[in-house]
Amino acid sequence: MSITYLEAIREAQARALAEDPRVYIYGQDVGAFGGAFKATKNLAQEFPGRVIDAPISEDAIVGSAIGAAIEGMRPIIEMQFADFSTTGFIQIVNHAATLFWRTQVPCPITIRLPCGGTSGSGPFHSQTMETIYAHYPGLVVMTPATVEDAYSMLLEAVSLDDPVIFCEHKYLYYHLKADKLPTEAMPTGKARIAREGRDLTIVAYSAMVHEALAVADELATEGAEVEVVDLRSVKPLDTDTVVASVARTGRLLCVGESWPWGGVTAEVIARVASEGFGLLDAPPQRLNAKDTPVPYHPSLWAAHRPTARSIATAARNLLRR
Amino acid sequence: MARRFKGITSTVGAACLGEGGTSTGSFHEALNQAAVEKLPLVVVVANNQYAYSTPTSRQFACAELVDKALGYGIEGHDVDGTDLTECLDTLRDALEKARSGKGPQLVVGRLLRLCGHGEHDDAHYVDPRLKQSLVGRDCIEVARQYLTRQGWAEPANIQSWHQEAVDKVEQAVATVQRESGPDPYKEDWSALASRHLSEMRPEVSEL
Repeated sequence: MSITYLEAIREAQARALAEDPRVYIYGQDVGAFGGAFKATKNLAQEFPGRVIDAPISEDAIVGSAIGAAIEGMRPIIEMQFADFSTTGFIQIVNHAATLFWRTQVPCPITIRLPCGGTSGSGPFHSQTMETIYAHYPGLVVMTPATVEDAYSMLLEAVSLDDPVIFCEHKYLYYHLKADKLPTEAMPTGKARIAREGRDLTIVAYSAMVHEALAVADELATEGAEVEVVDLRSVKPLDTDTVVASVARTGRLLCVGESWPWGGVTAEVIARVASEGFGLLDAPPQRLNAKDTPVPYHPSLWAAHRPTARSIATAARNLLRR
Repeated sequence: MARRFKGITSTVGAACLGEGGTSTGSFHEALNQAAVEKLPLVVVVANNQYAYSTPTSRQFACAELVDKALGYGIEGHDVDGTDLTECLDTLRDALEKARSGKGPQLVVGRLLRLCGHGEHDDAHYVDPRLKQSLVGRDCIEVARQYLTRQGWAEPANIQSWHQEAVDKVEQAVATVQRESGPDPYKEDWSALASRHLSEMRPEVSEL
């Protein structure tokens, strides 16, 4: 038996609904249809009245979830695509994120964002949004890279008393499989050493962890040992684990699928530079998507985001310095 | 909606806004959503003719603001917002309809903002003809005259109620002004209820 990243997300929601009567799911096409990606398949049938189709109104979807959270509910919101969440941006960053600070009333809502590129999805169905939400105080931003984390972090998101932006990667939905669901979990806020190495640290999150692991395999055949750090959540960001890894390797390459300007990769490098400058044997490097909208054409799309190939080139260059 | 999840069916939700707020996307989304869900909601719009300096002619193009209810498939109520009894009757009717399962109710009260948008604003842009029209009446003065005319209150009663309200506000202001402000050095600067997930870098707090 194997379970995909997508099925893990579905199972985590089923468990949250079963274990906590305060949980409900609200989003476009999430009901009888089971969601655009089938992340809520059969949940409306299994939990009548608790998995509800919303109109195409991200602003009102998030707004009503905040009201429900104030009333003691624990809503899970599905944005059909992460890109669409900008229509609900004001509710997320101005209202949900500030509610506890303003009123001391917690705002336990989970906003699921199907993120990231798949070939041919184009500029409005491919974005990764973790950077923009991580910028705002009052939000937790999770970026699971494994089936196990998709499951356990989603359950943790629902249990937290704060609004959580849950970035689930669409490419991983079907491509990533595990033997079974996890029975124990690392807490959010802790990064994971996905592979140990002593020559170079690659910091990544979400789908880029798997590109980085492929690079580590490839460079191992060339005699270089790459350590891969999976951030798991970009906010909070586990600076200690990153700095400790750089202390072992002396070299840092940070990889993200979102745009370069002021992003997660820039934040990681800024922290390592200010807290571990003396640990670095070479200037820290980063790789991001190109600073253009996400292209439709598969050949342009493949060159727009970092890939194992471009990461390997950057890693080899860094190892020579 | 949350109350419905919790099995509470007796309550009615209420929201208030001005006519300027009806131009936002969230007004449209919220009314449409509430109509789809047939929520017991009363939305009261105070159409006071100006959103800061912008007149209704630059805010919407429908003949009457209450006509917007038609588009959402909900019932609209238009009322003279300067007339206390008419407002009470209309709101009672709207609340009963919302409570009895007839879905969201939109109530629009027509009145005029008799001051500026803020203390800094002399409201010179208000059309003088509006000030002279029925909508430009002072609703408190209208209510005061009505109560006296009906013999429900003596001018002295009204004056003492007014003074009570003024005293209450002034006392509250005095109380707050006596309280000391928050101490930035004792503030933990966490915006999260889950404090263990707050990002408070040590080098920042040691500065």
